[in-house]
Parts: sequence; C-alpha cells; structure tokens
Amino acid sequence: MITTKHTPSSLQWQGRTVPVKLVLRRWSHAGRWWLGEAERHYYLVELANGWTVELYQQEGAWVLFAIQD
Amino acid sequence: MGTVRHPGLSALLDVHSFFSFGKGVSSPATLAGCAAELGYRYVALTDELNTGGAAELWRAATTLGITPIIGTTVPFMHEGMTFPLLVLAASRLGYTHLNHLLTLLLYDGQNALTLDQLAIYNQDVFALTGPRGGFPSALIASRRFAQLSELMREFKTIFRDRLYVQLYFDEHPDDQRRMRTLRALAHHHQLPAVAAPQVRYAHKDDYPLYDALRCAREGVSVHTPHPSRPTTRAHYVRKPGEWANLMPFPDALQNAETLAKQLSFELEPERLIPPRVEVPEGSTPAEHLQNLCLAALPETYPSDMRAKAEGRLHDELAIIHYHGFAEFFLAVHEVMAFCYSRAILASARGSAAASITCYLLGITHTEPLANGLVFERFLHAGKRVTPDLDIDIASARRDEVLAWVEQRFGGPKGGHAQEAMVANRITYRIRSALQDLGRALGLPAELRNHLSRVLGRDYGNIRPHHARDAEARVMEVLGEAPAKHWLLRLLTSIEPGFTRHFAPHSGGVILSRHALSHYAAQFRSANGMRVLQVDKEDAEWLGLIKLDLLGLRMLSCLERAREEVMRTCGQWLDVFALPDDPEVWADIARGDTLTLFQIESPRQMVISSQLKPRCKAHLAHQIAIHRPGPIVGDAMRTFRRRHTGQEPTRYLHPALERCLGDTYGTVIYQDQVLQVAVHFAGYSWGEADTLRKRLNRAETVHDSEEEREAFVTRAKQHVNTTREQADAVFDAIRGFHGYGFVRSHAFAFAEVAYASAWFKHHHPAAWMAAFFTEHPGMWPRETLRQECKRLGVALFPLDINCSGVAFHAERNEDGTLGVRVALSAVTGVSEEVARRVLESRLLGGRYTSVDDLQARVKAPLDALEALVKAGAFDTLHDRRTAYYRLQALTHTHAAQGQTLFDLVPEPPRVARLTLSERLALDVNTMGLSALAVHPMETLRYQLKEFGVTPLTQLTHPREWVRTAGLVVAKQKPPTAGGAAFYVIEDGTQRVHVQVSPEVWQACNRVLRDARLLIVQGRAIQEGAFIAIRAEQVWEVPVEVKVKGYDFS
Repeated sequence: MITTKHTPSSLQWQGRTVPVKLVLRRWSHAGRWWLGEAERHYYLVELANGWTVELYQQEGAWVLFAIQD
Repeated sequence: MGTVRHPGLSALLDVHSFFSFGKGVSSPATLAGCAAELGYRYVALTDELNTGGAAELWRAATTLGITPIIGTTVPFMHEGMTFPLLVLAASRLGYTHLNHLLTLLLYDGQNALTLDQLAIYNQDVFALTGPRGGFPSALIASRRFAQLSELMREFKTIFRDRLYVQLYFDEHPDDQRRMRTLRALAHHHQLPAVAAPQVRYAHKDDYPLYDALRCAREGVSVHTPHPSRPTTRAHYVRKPGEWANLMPFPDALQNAETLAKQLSFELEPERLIPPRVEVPEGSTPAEHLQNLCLAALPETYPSDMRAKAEGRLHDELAIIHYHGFAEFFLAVHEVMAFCYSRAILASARGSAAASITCYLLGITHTEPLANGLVFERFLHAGKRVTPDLDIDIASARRDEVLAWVEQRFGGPKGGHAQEAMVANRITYRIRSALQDLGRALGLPAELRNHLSRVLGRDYGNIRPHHARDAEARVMEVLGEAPAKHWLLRLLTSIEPGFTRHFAPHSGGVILSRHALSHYAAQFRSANGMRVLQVDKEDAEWLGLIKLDLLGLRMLSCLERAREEVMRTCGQWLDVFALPDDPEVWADIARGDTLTLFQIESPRQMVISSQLKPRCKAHLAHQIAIHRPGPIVGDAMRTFRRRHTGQEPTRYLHPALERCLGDTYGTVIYQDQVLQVAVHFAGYSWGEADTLRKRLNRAETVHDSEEEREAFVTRAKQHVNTTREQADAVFDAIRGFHGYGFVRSHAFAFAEVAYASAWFKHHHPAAWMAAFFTEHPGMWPRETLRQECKRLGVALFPLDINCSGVAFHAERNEDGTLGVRVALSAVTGVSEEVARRVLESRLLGGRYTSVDDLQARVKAPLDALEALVKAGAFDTLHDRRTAYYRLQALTHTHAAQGQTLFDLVPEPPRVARLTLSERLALDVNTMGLSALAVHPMETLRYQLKEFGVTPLTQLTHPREWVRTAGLVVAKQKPPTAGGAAFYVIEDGTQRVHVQVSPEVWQACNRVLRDARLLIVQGRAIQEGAFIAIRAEQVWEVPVEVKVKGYDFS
C-alpha cells in the first residue's frame, strides 16, 4: 500500500500498482487496549480498476480486509 | 481557480471534563491548556448535567489568553424519547438559566426537561442539537422524519437564531455521510450548521482511562460490550487544521467561531456579596452592627479597658464597612442568637473570630485584647477577602440549626433558593480509584478489598498518580498478572485532583443575596439537602460567602453533661463561664486528660504533664503546638524547654518579641507567620498572607528560594537586620510548613477543653455518662469503663428495667452517682428499639421476664437476642435461660400477645456462663463490661508463662521489659517519619508503645491484626508516663474484641 498523508493513494497487489480513485468511507476501531491491541484505521476505497476494497492500517501495517465485487 | 482550504477550527464547543462524572477524564484546566497550546481561541465546557467546572475553566482559559465558554449538556424529552441537548450561555443571565435548568433536573428530580421549560429558560442561551445521541441523528437513524421536522420547528420557535445543527466526526463508519445529511437538514430548515466535534479527554493516550471509567460507571468490565462505551479513540483535542480535513465544510467551521464570539461574558465578580438581613427601619446594616456592638460594650468591658476596646472596635467596623460585610456579621449574630435561644451550645472560630466585634455580638467566647488575638489577618488580606468564620454546633442538634437557617435565609421556594450547602469535590485517592478501575478490569470484589487492606496506612491515602510508589504492595496481591500492569498504568494516568463526584460539605452553608442559580446549579443530596454544585473555593470565587456550621460532638457531650447535672444536682451551668479552678488545672498537669477535648491523645497526655498549663492561654498554646506545622518546624521542643524553664527565651531579632512574645520566640500559630512578615520584613497583610500560602505549597526548601530572597531583602530594609538573621527568621517561618492553627481557633478550642476538664472533675458521673453516649473521643468504651473505675464512678450493668436509651447518671444506694449502661449501647439495638422498650416500661411498668418484653415490645428478633446476650435480663433470668426462652417463644408463635398457658417448656439444665464468657459477651456486644474484672485478668497465668510483667508493675523506667496489654489505640502520623504509636491497656493502667519504622516493617502483620500484644523493649520516662520503645512484639489470641482508635 502506498499512502499520501496517511491516506491510501494506491494499492500494490500481485506485482501490480492500482491507484486509489476515491476514498468512500473512513472509520476506526479502538481495539482491545487491555489486551495490548492497537487502534485500527479502516478505509473503504474505490480503485482505478473498478474494484471496491476495504483496508485497515494497524501499527503501521496495512491489511487488505475485503474485496467487494 | 482552486478552492481555498479553511484554516481549521478555532473553537471547541462540545467538551467534557471529569465533571461529567465518568464521561470525561481531564480537568477543565488541562483541556484549556491543551486547546491554547494547539492554537484554539475559544474553549467551551459542556459537561453533562454539570457547570461545576466553570470557575476552573474560566480561571485557566483567561490566564492562557483564550476565551472560556460555559455550557452544559442536558436531557430533554419528546414523545417519550430522551435526547441530549447542548446549551451554551451568552451572558450571566444565560448562565443563570443553565443553572436553573440543571436544578430542575438535579434538585427537583426531573428525569428530563420539557420543551415548555426550555421555552421559559432560554434567554441568552444558545443551543446545539447534540452529537450522536442528539435528536437529529437519533431520529434520522430510526427514520422518524415527521418527529424530526416537528422538533426542528419547535426548537426554531424556542431558540430562534440561537439554534445550531451540530456536526461531529468521531471516526465511526458513515460519519462523513451523516455530516452531509445533518448539513442538508440545517439548510432545509434555514439553520446554521456548526462544527462541534466531541472532546472527552485532552490527549489520545487518555482513551484507556476514559473507557475504563465508562465501564466503571456502567458497572461492566472491559470484557463486556456496552452501547455507551466508546469504540474509537477519536475524542481528544486535535490540531485545529485537522478538522478542516475531517469536516470539510467551511461554513460549519466558520460558524463555530461566529457562535463562540457571542458567548463571552464576565463570571468573576469584583467582591463577595453578603446575604441580606433585616435591620431596623432607618438604619443601614453597618449602623445596626455598630449599635449592637456599642450597646454590648459597657457590660462586657470594665471601664479601664473600655476605651481601648472601643478604639479597636471602631477600627474593625471601618474595615468591615469597607468590605461591605456588615450583613454577614449580622447574619452570624442571628444564627448564634438562635442557638442561645434554644440552649444549643455553639462556638465560633476562624480568623474573623479574633475580632472584638464577634466577642461583643456573643459569637465568640474569648476576649481578644487580653489574649492577643490578631484581627488583621482576616480583613486586611487584600481587595477580595473572605470572612473566615466557622461555627461549631452541638452535633446532635445541628440539624435544628440548619433547618432554621434554611427557613430564615432560604428565600423563596422553587428555583430561587438563596441558601444551600456547598459541595465537596470528592477526588480520587488510590483506594477509591483502584475500586473503580479494578472493577472495570474485572478484578473480583474480594481481591480489590484485599488490595485496599494491603496498601495499609503507608499507601492507602496516596493520590493515584503516585501509584508506582505502592507497586510492591500491588504485586503482593496481583503478582505479575496483566491486570497489575494496566491497573498501575490507569492509576498513574489519573490527574491530580480528579473529581469523582460531589458530596455535601461537612458544614459549609452558602447564604446568598440573590437566587443561587445566579452562581451555580444545585442538586439534592442523598439526605434531601440542597447542595450547590461548586466547592467552597469556587463558591467564594463566584462571589458567595460561606458560613461553616459544623457539628462538634464534644459540644453535644457538654450539653448532655449539663443536663445530667441539672437532673441529678438541680444546677444549670453556663458552659462557657465556668469558674477557674486550680484543681482542674492540677488534673490537666498530671496528664489526667482522658476524655478531654483536644488533649486526650496519648501524646497530649504526655505534653500536658510536661507543660502543666495553668490558664486557657497555656491550654491554647498546648493545643496548637501539637499540629503538623509546629511539629515539622521543631517549635514544639523549643517551646517546651522554654515554657518549663530549661532554657531562656531568645529572639532571633528584637523586632520579633512583639509577634512571638507569649510563645517564647517560637512560631506556633498561622497568625504569627503573618505578623513576622509584617513587623519584621515590612510586608502588607495581603502580601504576608500570600507568602504564607506559598510557603505552605512549597514541598522542598528549593521551592521557596524566591520567597526567601524577597523576605531577606525586605527585612534588611525594614529592621536593618543582617542577612544571617533574616535567613534564620525565614527558616523559622518556613519551618511552619503544613497545617497549623489560627490563634483564635486554638483559644476557642481551649474554652471547650477547659469546660470538659471542669465537668470531669466536678461531675464525673454526669460527664462519663454523656461521654459514653456521644463518644466524641478516640478511646474504646472498655477504656472509658476503666477510667470510670479509676475515678471511682460505678458502672451499673445493662438492665432491661433500669437502662435508658442513652447512658445516664444514676444514684447508688450510698448516694453517690454512677453510670448506667444504655440499651442503645448494644450492637444491633437501634435507638428506635431502645425507645420502644423505654416507652413500654414507663407506660406498663417493669418487665417481669423476657416473655413479658416480647409480648409488649415490637422489635426484631436479632435486637432482642442482642439484648439477651448483652445481659439485659440478668436480674430476671440466667443469660442462657433467657436466650432459650426467647428462642422457644419465637418458635411457638407466642411472640405477639399473652397466652393462657405457658407454652415455653422448662429449659434444659445447662451450665451457667463463666465469668470469662460473660466478660467476652459483654465486651463483644457493647464494647464494655460492668463486671469488675478486666479481660487481661483472665490471662494472667498464661502471660506469666511468657515471662510477662503486668503493666501495673511498670512504675519506673528500666532497661528492658516484656509486658502485655489489650491494644486500645494505634496511630501512624505522617509527621513521625514512619514510626507508629500504640497504646496497650491492662485494667486502669495504659502504656504508650513506640514502634520504630524497622519494627513496623518487620512485624507489620502482627501490629495490624493483634488484639492483645506482648511487647518487649526499653521502658522510658515520658513526662509523667512510662512508655516502651518496642524491639519485638507478639500476638496473643483473645476472645474479646476491643475496637479501639485505629489510624494505622
């Protein structure tokens, strides 16, 4: 994942780079702090290739959470 | 042309501090500091159901140069649904309306406001529609669009152009879409939208504490989901520019500033405003006060002192008039006059009590001129001063006085009350914090209670942010469990002064000239009192005058003793005008001070025998000297040596003789710190008071270096002294660090102390009966029983046909007076049950058996059982027989009426109770026994086997002793450097045991739990007493439970 000012700007996946066309929604989840979990920042983005994907960032790492067709 | 990005948000309009009680974790000052640091120009406080943080926010924000905004969040109801609404004050009138709305909710008990109420109290009030739970969001979510439109129209009618639709963003899914919807709703109704993100804590790291406290308030653990728990960490103070990105609506961002500009008003008044009192027609309050004082002057002062007294009176009245406090003094005069009219003992203290004005008005009992009471500290302290006057009232009758004060000064009913108690801010200590946070972390109650106990005296009262100091104790209970890590982390993140809730102050009453809502909201306490939603400091800052009406059990004890004397001897005594009696002073000089006010502690007994006071001034000095200020400043030792002639009185500079003459050159009173600053260093009284406060706040020598330099420089100029001398004088007043008495306070206490000594000497039975009943002191009943024995006052046992509700004096067959044990002394027997027993005996004659009592008196079985076990029927039955009959009667259902036949079978033959069994039963049910033996007598041979020398044989100090006694008092004062002090008792003999920090550490568990201690150590002489420096202690198990004074 490539970001600009903490917001996803393009997705690198299976050797290809797909730009983010639009951030549709953003939200966060506090995490279970008493178990040491960090906060998660979620993004629902529309990619240039037409895909809509849900991603989250936790402690600097990006996770592709869901791909919607 | 590209769009110009908005610079960001300039005002925070929806902010909760810890005054939202569980829904915010930062102080108003911290929030203001954080907002100012990040560049906000306005910061609001909109605590839920609370404006208690307004004064703090005001002070902090104005100091930081940003504008404070006062609001609150209130619930309102519509069609059976409740929604939060943010209301913000645009003027003092608007602030008054907010307080009035809160009072409707908190005092009148409404669950939510109605639209009609909002329609009445909305002038100069702006409204925001509320965040996530607000009616627009809630009704859109539930698709109740018709209700939403109706409410929008209603609110528009009520608030007109003072209504804003609140936009918020707290990182929930769909927040951006919701903001767009709310903005569209605002446009549809031609209303402004305003960016008002929710702030619930200052820094993002505060989130775990916020969540944990939410859990604690909801009664769930962190493992349990709950709808009111925050699911994001978004509620901190972000940089203003971030909001431009997260809430990209320039009009809403701009509206925040537009709105904030309209919400500025002055909260702090220029001066305190006294209550209104009635004065004779044609007189001003000042003239009336002067007339009252002048009328009392001739009968109070002999002619040779009158001119001096009148001169000072005129000086005082001029100052009182300058500050506009005549009505305050008149109001206090009225309160005291009411007390006298009802024979309620009352006594005033505080710096204002040093005045001749108070003495002439009958507010105080100590003559100021002869006793060197300084008036200046009270009213010369600056432009805005507070009249410091506390009234001690016999505690048993304080409610009578409070009820009268409410009726006299309460003003109109409804929302315009003018009298209320001031609140206490109950702040977190480590024990209360670990209960709340431990519950949130899922620690069971037993574990939390165990942890509280283990913290002990050493750590039990520390502030939560110092919790790391107690880490070893926490580990002792929790080991290395993850909960320990989080508990300590959460505890240390609690801000100093974190207010958990408000509670009524112990005696602070506000008498206001205007309706109280002008100053603050009011809530109803658990016992129905009206309480102002601010503490005493904030109340004074807001311009209110507090009068402390404090309950003092010793005054109740004196009242009761006076009545006993009247009943038994037919003599009515004036408690504050008792004759000066050398024999009473001789008692005190022997250290025979058990049960005496302020001088009954083990340490004060020793001091009494060393100082041998001979007048009330000496007694006042003695009371004042055993306080943290003089102790830490080491004035106590010097005072004692000079008072007893062991060293001559010396002054560090001749100018000090004027200030410290009667205390042998030592500083033992707060007033003396001021006098030294004024007369030695040339400070004004106001500057001197500021210096005193700064010295009190300084924790180390280095903290007061700035004050030292100023003091030394000014002293050199004022009295032409040397640097060394000025330094030494500064050290003397700096040493007076911590709590110390004002002189008039000590003299007021000396009056009460002397009265208690006089009663004890002249009417010991009446005194001990009153003392047993009111129990104002530190000693357990069994120790008081031993004191009766020493005084030759017989103690008559509990008797169902002789005992009353309270202890009372009773004539013996030989005509001497003894004390009869009270029915209510029995644990489990309420005053109400005791009263019923007494009523039936007065109406129906003596009880003939336990059956008779059960038939005549309606009382719970456990209360009757307690009476039987305590020996109330000993003159009618053997105790075991009585118990058998009571149980048999209960189970044959013959309890509520006489029966034709005796349904109770004869009891089986059981052994009678032994002496030690009766003793244990007596002490365990009543805390004392009328039997002649002391519990120690039942263990003589056992203790002899341990090589124990009885306390009664310790008459001289010697190198090494091993002795034993019941533990009747434990103390571990913070000024003692980790040492503890115990008192052990054997019959009428008591011995003080000094426990060094090392022994305390080594024998902590025994010292904590033991009822009977064997002590081995060095016997030393302390005044007239023998004390032991413990080197080793052991515990001996005993049946009796003497619940003594425990401050360990």
